[in-house]
Amino acid sequence: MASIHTERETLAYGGASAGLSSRWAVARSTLALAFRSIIVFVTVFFLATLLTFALQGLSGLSPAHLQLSESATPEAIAALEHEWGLDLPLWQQYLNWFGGIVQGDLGRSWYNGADISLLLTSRAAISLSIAGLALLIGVTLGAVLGITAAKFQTTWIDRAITTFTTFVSVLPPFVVGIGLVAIFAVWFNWFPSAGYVPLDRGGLGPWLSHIWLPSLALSMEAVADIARQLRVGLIQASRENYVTGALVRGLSSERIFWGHVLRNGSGPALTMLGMKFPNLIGGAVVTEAVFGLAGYGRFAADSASRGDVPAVQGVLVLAIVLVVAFNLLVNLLLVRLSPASARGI
Amino acid sequence: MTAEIIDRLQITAAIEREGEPVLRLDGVNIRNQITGKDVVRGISFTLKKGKVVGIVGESGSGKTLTCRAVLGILPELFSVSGGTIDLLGHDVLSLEPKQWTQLRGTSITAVFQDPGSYLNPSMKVGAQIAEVIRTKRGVTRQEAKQRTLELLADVRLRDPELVYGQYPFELSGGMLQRVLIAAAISLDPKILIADEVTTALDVTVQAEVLDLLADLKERHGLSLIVVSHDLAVVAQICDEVLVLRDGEVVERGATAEVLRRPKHGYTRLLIGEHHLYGLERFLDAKPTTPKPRLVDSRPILIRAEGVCVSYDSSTSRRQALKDATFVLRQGESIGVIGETGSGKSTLARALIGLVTPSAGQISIAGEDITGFSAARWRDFRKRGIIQYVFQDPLRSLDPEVTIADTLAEPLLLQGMLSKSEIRDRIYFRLDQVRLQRNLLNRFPGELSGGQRQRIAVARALVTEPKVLILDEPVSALDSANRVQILEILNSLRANGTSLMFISHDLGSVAGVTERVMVLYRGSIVETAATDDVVNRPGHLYTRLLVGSAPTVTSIGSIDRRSRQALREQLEAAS
Repeated sequence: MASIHTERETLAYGGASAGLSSRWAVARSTLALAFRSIIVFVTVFFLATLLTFALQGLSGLSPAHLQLSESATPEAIAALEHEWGLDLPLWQQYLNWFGGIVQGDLGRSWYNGADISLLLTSRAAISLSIAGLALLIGVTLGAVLGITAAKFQTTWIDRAITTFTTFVSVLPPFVVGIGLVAIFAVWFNWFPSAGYVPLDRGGLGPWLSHIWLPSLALSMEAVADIARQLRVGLIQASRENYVTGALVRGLSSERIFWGHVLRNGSGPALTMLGMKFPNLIGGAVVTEAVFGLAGYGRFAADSASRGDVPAVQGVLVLAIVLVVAFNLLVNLLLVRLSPASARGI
Repeated sequence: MTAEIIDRLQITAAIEREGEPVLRLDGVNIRNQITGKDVVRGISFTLKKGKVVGIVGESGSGKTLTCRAVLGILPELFSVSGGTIDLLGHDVLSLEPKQWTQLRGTSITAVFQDPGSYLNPSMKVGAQIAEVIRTKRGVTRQEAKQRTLELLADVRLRDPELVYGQYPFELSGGMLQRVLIAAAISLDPKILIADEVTTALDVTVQAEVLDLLADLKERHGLSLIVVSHDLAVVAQICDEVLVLRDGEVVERGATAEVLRRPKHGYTRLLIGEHHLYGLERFLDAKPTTPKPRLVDSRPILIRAEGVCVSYDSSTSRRQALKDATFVLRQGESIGVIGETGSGKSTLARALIGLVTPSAGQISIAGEDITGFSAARWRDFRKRGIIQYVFQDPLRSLDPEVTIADTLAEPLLLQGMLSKSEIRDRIYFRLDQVRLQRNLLNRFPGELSGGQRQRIAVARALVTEPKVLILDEPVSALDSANRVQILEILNSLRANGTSLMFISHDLGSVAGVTERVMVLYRGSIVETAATDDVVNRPGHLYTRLLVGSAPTVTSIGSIDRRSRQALREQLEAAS
């Protein structure tokens, strides 16, 4: 960032302005970063919704296909399209639709006229429960495995973990899902093999027992990726000069690892997590099919095959918001982890 | 007992302790586990309390490995295969990790080259020092911070509060080295190892760091091991010197004795370089009177008038070069001296069109280059009138292209010579830089640093330039290669090529230039005959620069206190 940069230069020059507070510069840079992030969020959101909206025009579909029979008169079609506001100029249609989105209104389904926001909320709750729990498992288990492998670098523990992560990462989630069902649901009969109980209806226990297996199946890829990235990141960070520096200043290796190496070495894993998040949402769709859950993926597939454009658009808008928001969060975390990186952007 | 007697007893005890050995190496061998060879053989020395032992040697001589063995941080593939190391009564070779953690920082510690990399990049520097104090001394956060601020002031950082809250990337090289020294002395260690701490720093900053170490030694009773490839650095501060070569001590003794009567050929080479090409050449000579200025009738090759260059960013504008006016005549050799950021590289870049001046005029060989379009520049460069040699030869040579092709490229581009003429030209230049013809089929990666730099010079020469600009051409080289490059430059001078030699080190420039231009914060503050600059420096900065240059003879080099006074004056003036 320009402000920090110039100040650094004056410092290097030993100039008279070296008394400028660097704390102020850091605060300014954080603010500027937040501002830029919001700009990015808004731009991406705007462009993505524009593309999503264009689906309607590109598909050439209209509610008339769904609601009227083959023998529909042109007048009847025109009347229906007027009722849905499809005779308005395109930009106005987009503005109406966008205005609705901003207020959380995704429009109504062409298929049955139901409120899409409402339909989607109950479906998304299932998918997001699974994706969220999968994320949690992925981060926790991935971190534990990655840290353990790095700490016991080149020993049999490291090799065992590496073998496990390599094995797991080549298995597609649906195969893992079927395997888990076969073992835990059919064989041991510990968990239900299909279905879903909302949190507010059955409480924590039944909710967890229903989403546990799909989440586990979905999380395996994230576990493997995070473990491997973290291992490499930590090993690289532990070879940096500052580790030697801290050592000769009298800090113990343990303290250096947990206090310095872990923080600096987790950047790559975090970056990767940001890139993996869309996979997690996409993977939830496949997992839902294996576990017979009526989640957001099923909703998207059904709506698409029916030609229910507003419903598909609703699904996409939700996905856009989730992915962009998550990446924003990851980026902010990355900047927290490495203050020097705030300079470049 | 009265207080006076107690005082006297303590003083006596202190005198007795003075000279007591704190570290003793006896026949230490260090083995490379993979090759099974001993890379360090039979090193013995004793470090006494309050004394300074210097270890000199080129890279690969084993000096850093020896230090790492003493600190218990040898790289994984290396181990001590013989001898003993006694650190304050502890047998270093049988210490457990826990004991090491206790000893490091409190008894022995180290600072290294490239100080920025030895600090955690994502933590404020103050917090890093405070962390050590807190964990080892068990004091509160507030006390640790207080002590850290004292330490930062102790290493003469101007604004401790400000530096405390800064990240490493916000500090300059000299400041980082001082922060690192502050961190090193935070637990009052007995021994401090300084491994190439001044390498890659500006000469004036080098002297500041060395002065600081000498000062800390006196005030805290530290014992120092100073490691460097530069004999002159060691000569400034050490009581005793060990010269290492290929893992063995080839010469040792009191510093003054070694400098005055070197026995080993390698030591003589190190000292000889200074007498041939360092400031000693001027300082050793009898005091001279200023020569009357003769009218120089040689034709002018480069004329720069009122050249200004500024770098703009979105929020600020920095003048890197202010109103530079000078001439370079045919066959003349001029030195451009200044610290990092003084504008010396900017000046050179303006001459070859890499930056565009915001004001002023430059003409080269009669052509006004200031208004050149990109196409005109291309044509002009193709003619090869002016050539540039960069500091880092590895990065300025294409690693995927053979030496032969690298040398032939500018000539093929000109398209005026036949193949056999090109070959003759290349052979001629190769001989001139004293390289064998069998190197032509190699790639840059297969050459040593010195060879690569000579290839870079040869490449600049194939187009038979009138002017050669050399940007820090010897800064990354060791003694022997440095001498070789400087000799080559002197032979070019004799053949009538004009040279512009840019460096932060007056010493390396003095031997091959007749005039020196001193740049300070973007302005040319002094231009004079090299002899005059060394013996009668005018500007405050030039005086500090001459007084900071490492020399193997103490004559002429001013003392620590005068240097400090100069620094303060300079600071007050700006």
